[in-house]
Amino acid sequence: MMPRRKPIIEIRGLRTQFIMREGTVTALDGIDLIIYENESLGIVGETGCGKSMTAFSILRLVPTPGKITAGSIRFKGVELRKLTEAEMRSIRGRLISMIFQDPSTSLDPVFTIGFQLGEVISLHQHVYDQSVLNKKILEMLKLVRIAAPQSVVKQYPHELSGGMKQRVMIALALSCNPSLLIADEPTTALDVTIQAQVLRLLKDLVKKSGSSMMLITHNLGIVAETCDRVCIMYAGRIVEIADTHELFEKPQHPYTKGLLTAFPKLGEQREELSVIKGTVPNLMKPFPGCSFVDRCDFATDECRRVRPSMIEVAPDHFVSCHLYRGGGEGDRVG
Amino acid sequence: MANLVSYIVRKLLLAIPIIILATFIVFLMLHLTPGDPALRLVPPRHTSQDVEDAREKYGLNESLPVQYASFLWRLLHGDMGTSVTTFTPVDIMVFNRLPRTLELMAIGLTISYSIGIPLGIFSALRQNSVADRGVMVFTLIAYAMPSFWLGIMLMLIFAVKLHWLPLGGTVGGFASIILPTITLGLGNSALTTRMMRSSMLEVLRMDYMTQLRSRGLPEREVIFKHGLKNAILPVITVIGLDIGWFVGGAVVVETIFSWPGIGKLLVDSIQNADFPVVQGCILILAMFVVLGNLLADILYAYVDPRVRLG
Amino acid sequence: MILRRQLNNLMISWKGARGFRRTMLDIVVRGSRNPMVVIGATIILVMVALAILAPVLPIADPTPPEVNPGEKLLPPSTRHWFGTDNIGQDVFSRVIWATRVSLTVASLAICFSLMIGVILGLTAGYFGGAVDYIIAGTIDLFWTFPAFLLALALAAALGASLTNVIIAISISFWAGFGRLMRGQALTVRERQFVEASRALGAKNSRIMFTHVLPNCIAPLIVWASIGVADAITIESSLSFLGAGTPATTPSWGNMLNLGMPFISEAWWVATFPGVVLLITVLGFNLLGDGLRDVLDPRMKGLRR
Repeated sequence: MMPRRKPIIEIRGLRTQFIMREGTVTALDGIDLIIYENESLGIVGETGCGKSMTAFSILRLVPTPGKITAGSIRFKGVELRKLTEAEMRSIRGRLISMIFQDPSTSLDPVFTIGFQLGEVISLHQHVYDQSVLNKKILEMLKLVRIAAPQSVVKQYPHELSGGMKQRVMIALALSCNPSLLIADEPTTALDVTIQAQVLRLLKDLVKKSGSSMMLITHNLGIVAETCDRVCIMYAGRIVEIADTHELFEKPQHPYTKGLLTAFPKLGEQREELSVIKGTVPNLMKPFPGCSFVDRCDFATDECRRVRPSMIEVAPDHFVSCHLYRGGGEGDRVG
Repeated sequence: MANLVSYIVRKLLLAIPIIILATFIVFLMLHLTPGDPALRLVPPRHTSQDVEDAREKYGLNESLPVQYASFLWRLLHGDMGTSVTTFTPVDIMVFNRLPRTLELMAIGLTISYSIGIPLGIFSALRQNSVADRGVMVFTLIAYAMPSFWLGIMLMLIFAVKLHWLPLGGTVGGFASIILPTITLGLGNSALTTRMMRSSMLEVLRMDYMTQLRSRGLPEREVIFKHGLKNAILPVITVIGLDIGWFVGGAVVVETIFSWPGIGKLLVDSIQNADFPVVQGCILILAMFVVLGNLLADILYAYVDPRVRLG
Repeated sequence: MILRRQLNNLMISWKGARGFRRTMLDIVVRGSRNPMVVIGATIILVMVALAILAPVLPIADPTPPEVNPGEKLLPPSTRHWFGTDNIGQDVFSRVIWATRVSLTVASLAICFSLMIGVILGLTAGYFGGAVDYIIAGTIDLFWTFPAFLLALALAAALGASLTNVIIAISISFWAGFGRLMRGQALTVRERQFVEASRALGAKNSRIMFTHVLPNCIAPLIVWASIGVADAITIESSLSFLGAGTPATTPSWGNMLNLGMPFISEAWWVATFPGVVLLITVLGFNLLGDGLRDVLDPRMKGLRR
C-alpha cells in the first residue's frame, strides 16, 4: 500500500450553478475530490460534464451568471471560498495556475511573449530589475524547450505555431512554481504530431518541479500515458475514481466500462464501434436519482429514486453506483 | 519594424488611385451639365472675349483626355485656377482658410473621442444596466440628429437665449470655437461610443481575458491594460470613416457659425457660382479625407501587430 | 421536352420565391418582438401616412400665393401649431409637405443605389476573377469617399434640383450595397445548392436571383433602412446648404436654412422642422438597428 500522501486540494460537496432567466443549470452537483502532492490526476468525461467548471471553481473564475453555491474547496488547508479577491489573486498564477485548451485564443494578441511572461514573473516574484527579469524569461522559455528564445521573446502570439504557443502557456503557468497546475485539454487543439511532444514536456516538467497536475481531457489514451489517478465525471457528478491502471483493468461503473469499450484497441478486430446509447441529461432539470440512469443497461428502480453515494470497492478505488455495496457509506472519499 | 515601413509604403501606393479618382470627379464636374463649360469659368458679367480667353487658358478646345491631363499638370504645379468673383488664385484662398478648418476638425475629433471612448467602455462594463440603456438611447438620438439642427439649437440656447457664447465668426476669440466644435464632436461621439462599446463587449468575452485572470493579474489591469488595448483597435480603424464624416460636418458647421474655413468658402462659392473655387475646395477636402484615412491606417498598423503581415 | 424544361424552371423559381416569402414572414414575426423595430416601424408608418395624405389633410396651403403681411413670424398658437415663417406661411403645414419631399427623395435614391449595388455586387461576388477585381476596386474607391462630400460635389455641379439630389445620393450610396451583396454572394456561391442548380442546367442569372438573392434579404433590409435614414440626412443637409431641394418646395433642410437668420426673434421656424427630421431619421435608424439585432447581432461588417 502506498503511504498516505498529503492532500493539496480537498473538495467536498462542491456545487456550481448558473442562475438564469430560463432556469438554473447545475454544472457541478456535489463533487468530492482530493488531489495529493506530487501526483497527476486525470479528469475525464464528455463535453459539458463539468470538468472545466471544476477547474474554474477551484480558481474562483466561474463566469457569470455562474456561482459556487455550496461546498468547500481547501488548498493546503486553507478554505478558498473564504478568501478575499486580493488573496485569491495572489494564489492564481503563483500557487495554482491553469493552461487553457486553445492557445490561439488564450494569449493576448497585442502583447509580445516576453512582455506577457515578464508581467507574471514581476507580479508574483516582485522582480523589477529588467535584466534580471529578462534572464528569468529566457530561462522559462528554454525550460519549455523553445528553440530560439531570444527571438520568441520579441514575437507576438500570432507569429508562433500552435505547439509553440502552448509551450508559452506552459511557461506562463509554471513560471512561479505552482503547487498545482491545471491543464484543461492542453493538446486537443494541437496537431496530432505535436500532441505527444507537448504532453511529454508537461509530464517531465511537472515531475521535475514536484507540482501536482490536474489534467482535464476527454481522451483516455492521454490519461493512460500521463496520469497517476483518474476521475471519471458525468453530468456534473463524479462516478468513479481510481489509480490509472486499476481503472483500466477493473472498471466498475457502467459509464466507465462504456467509455473503455468505445475505444478500439490496437490489434483488436471489430465489426462495429460500440456506442453508449442515449445522450447527456438536461442539467436544468434536477433529478433525484443517478444521472446515468437513462443510458445504463443495469438501471433499477432504486437508481431512478436514490442518488448513489461514493463507495470504496477496492483500496483507493471509489465508485458511485447502486450495483456496489462496500463497507463505509461514502464517508471516505478520494 | 521593417514590416511597418513596407506596410506604410503599400498604403501610400493604394491611396494614389483614390486621389486620382478625386481629381477626376472634380475635373468632371465642369463638364457634367449641358451648356458651355467655359461660361462657368468667367465672372457673371463678362464679354465674349473673356469667354474665349477662358477657353484658351483652361484648354477647353482640346479633347477630354488632354484636358484632364493638363488639369492634372496644373494641379501638380499648384495652379487651381482663379476665382471669378475675387480674381485671386484659388490656391491662395483655399490655403488661407485651411488652418481654420483644421482647428475645427482637430478639436471636434478630440471631443468626440474624449466622450465616446470612456462612455463606450463604461457602457460595456455595465452591459444591460440602466446606465447602459441610457447610453444607448443617447447614441441613437445623437446619431439621428442632423448636425445642422444641433448647431442651430445650441446657437439658440447658448448664444441667443443665454448670451453666454458668441453667435459666430471668430471675433469672440476662444469662445467662438466652442459651439462649432461641440456640434461636430457631439454628433460623432454617438458613433464612437457605439463602436467602443461593441468592441469592448467582444473583447470581454475572449478566452484570453479569463487566462489573464488565472495568472493572478488584478482586474483593473486585465480590463484596462489588456482589454482596452485590444478593444481600441476596431475603433481606430474607424477614424478614417470618421474623418470623412467630419469633413462633411465641417462644411455644415462652418456655414451655421460663419466659421471662416474651407467649408464656408465652398458653400459661399456654390451660391456665387464661383466654379474654380468650388473645384479647389472639393479637391482639398477630398485630400483631407484620403490623408486622414492614410494616417488612421498607419496608426492602426502601429498598434495592432497582426496587421503588418497582410 | 420543352414543357419539362419549363416546368423545371418554374419549380426552381417557385422554390426560390417560397424561400423569400418564408424569410419575410420570419423577419416580421421576430421583428415584432423587438421594441426598437416596433417603435421604428410605427414612426415610419406615421410619417409615410402623413406624406401620402398631405394633400387631403385639413391643413393650410404650404405655399399660399398671397400672404397677409400680418401673418409673418407668428409664434405657435391654436391656429398655427408651429407658428408662421418670415413669409407668413404656416410652418406646421410646410413641415408635413416637406415629409413628401424627403421621403420620396430618400426612398428613390436608396432604390437606385440598391439596384446598382445589388447587381454589381452580385456579379462581382458570383463570377469572381477579373470581373470581381474591377468591380471590387470600384466599390472600395466609392466606399472610402465620404458620401456627403460626393453628393455635395455632384449637386453643386449639376445644379440644385430634386432629380440631381436623387442622382447624387444614389451615386454616393451604391457602394455600401455593392459591398454587402458581394460578400454575401461570395459565401453563398460556395454552398452546395448552387452547385446542384448549375448541374441541373440553370442559367447563371437565374441562380443569382432565385438562390443567392433570397438569402441576402435580411442584411439588405437592414442596410436599406439605415441607408434611408442617412439619405434623408444628406438631402436635408444639401437643402440646408442651398444645394439640394430648390427653395420653392418646402423641405426640412431649406426650412431650417430660411429660419436661421430669424433664430433670435422666431425660434419656432427653425426648431420644429428639425424635430420632425430628427424623429423621422430616428425611426429609420431604430428599424434598421432593431432588425440587425433580430437577424444577426454580430453583423459587424455593416459599418456606416
